[in-house]
Amino acid sequence: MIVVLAPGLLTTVQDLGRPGWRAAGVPAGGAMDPWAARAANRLVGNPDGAALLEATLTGPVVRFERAAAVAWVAGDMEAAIDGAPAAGERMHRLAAGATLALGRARRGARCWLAVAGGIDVPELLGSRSTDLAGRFGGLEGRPLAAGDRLPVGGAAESPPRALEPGFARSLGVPRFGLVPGPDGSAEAIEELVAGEWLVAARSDRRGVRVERPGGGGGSRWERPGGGELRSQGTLPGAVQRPPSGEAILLGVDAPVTGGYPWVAQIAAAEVGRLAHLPPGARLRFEVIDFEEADRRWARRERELELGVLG
Amino acid sequence: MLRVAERSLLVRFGEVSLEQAVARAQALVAALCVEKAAVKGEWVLGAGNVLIVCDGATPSELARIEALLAELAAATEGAPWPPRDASRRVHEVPVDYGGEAGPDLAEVARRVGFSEAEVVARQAGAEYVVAFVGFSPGFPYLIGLPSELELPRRDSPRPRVPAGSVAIAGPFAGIYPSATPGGWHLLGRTEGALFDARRSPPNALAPGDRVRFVPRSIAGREA
Repeated sequence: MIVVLAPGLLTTVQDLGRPGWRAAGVPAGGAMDPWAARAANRLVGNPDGAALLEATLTGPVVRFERAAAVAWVAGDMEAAIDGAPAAGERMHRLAAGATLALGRARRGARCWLAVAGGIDVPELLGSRSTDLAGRFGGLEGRPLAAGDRLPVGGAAESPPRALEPGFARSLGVPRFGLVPGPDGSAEAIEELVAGEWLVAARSDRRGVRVERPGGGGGSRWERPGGGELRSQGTLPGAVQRPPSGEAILLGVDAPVTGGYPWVAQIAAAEVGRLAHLPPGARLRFEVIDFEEADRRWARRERELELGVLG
Repeated sequence: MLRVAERSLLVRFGEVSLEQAVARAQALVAALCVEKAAVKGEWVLGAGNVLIVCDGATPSELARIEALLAELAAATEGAPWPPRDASRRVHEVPVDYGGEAGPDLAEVARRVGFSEAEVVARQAGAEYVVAFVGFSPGFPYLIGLPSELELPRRDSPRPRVPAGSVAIAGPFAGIYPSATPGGWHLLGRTEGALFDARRSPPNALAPGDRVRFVPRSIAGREA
């Protein structure tokens, strides 16, 4: 068992999500950056889809009742094992009774903490992920709280591994390749690509809101042709333009349908980068085509393969 | 039909009437269920559109799915509304209207120019059909709201709408399955789980199902 001594700001159990239930209104969810979660699992010898903890801005303090192998990836969170500073992005073996304290994220926004054997909460609709809107999955469908106890699955001993530093740094690159969306136009995409955007405070797993630096919401955005859009299916990585002028970059927990114009779509390989943007971060978009988006996905798979050093 | 991501396609039906567009979208989903093996993926019904997500497909498989979709979508022309499917369940939803359970009933009554009792009578007097499930797990968008009750959403959404809230916005009625933020007008509240991840299927109301609201009380007085 893992005992939660302090939960951190918002820590949830996640795996690679539950695709297949969108028709019931259930988003796929899962780790907000699947690349980082997969890397954390590989560091401790888990399969990619093992459940782990996703921490936000400030990490949790947890005690391990049994000896465990752990690794945490991304966010450059302050970290200590039984009071001694410890480095992220590599496997650590903990003795029974050890306490791991994750602190503030010094870079990025989120961190994934994997434990060999995975967090063994029950599977619901094919996943152990926490669905905060539906209030199910993970631990009772909610973020961790002090006093929670998390079961850990059995695991064979695996050799220690570490992330190649270049791979770790590449997780949070604040640049996003865009393909056109169903409500986009050349002008709408040009406007997105011109200059920097700033992450607003009202951002979470459902969506990252961005606005123009210094300009609040920026100019009001009018849908070409005008009129109300009929609600339609949406995807994580969709770039929506509400009339207020800001843009919303949909996250993994975004509702499965939405009514704002969907002007562009972030390349699938780069949607996970949204997880690393704290309020105030700056980001840029660039236009790519579907073939380039596919190449980026294949390249990312190769980089993950090469990025876990054992 | 539009390609909206590396492996996703969006089919939109351009009918001016919401009902006719929703009828075609539901007919397309019914056809997709028959062709499940050929369409590797899942789909999301919207208000007269269908998003098809085929994450595992190769580019050539996607091209084949696109051609099949075009054929299936064309065949939905003239699909009837409400859908002619006698097997569809009719759900009766008991509702406590007004008061604490429906904090917007008084304002809605004022804006549409009826008494609270008249709003309840009209809203509960209609038969609804589930158009699609979206917004949050299990949230049904219901078509059938009398047009005299149509109002735009609230100017600012509530940060937390209680689970079971029966609400209206635009041409739709809906029921919040869990406590979430929400911008619809809250007329009342019902009990019973609209969504349960331990159940199969997890959503109690599915597209094409019929729904009737049955007033149980209005502002604390038995209806």
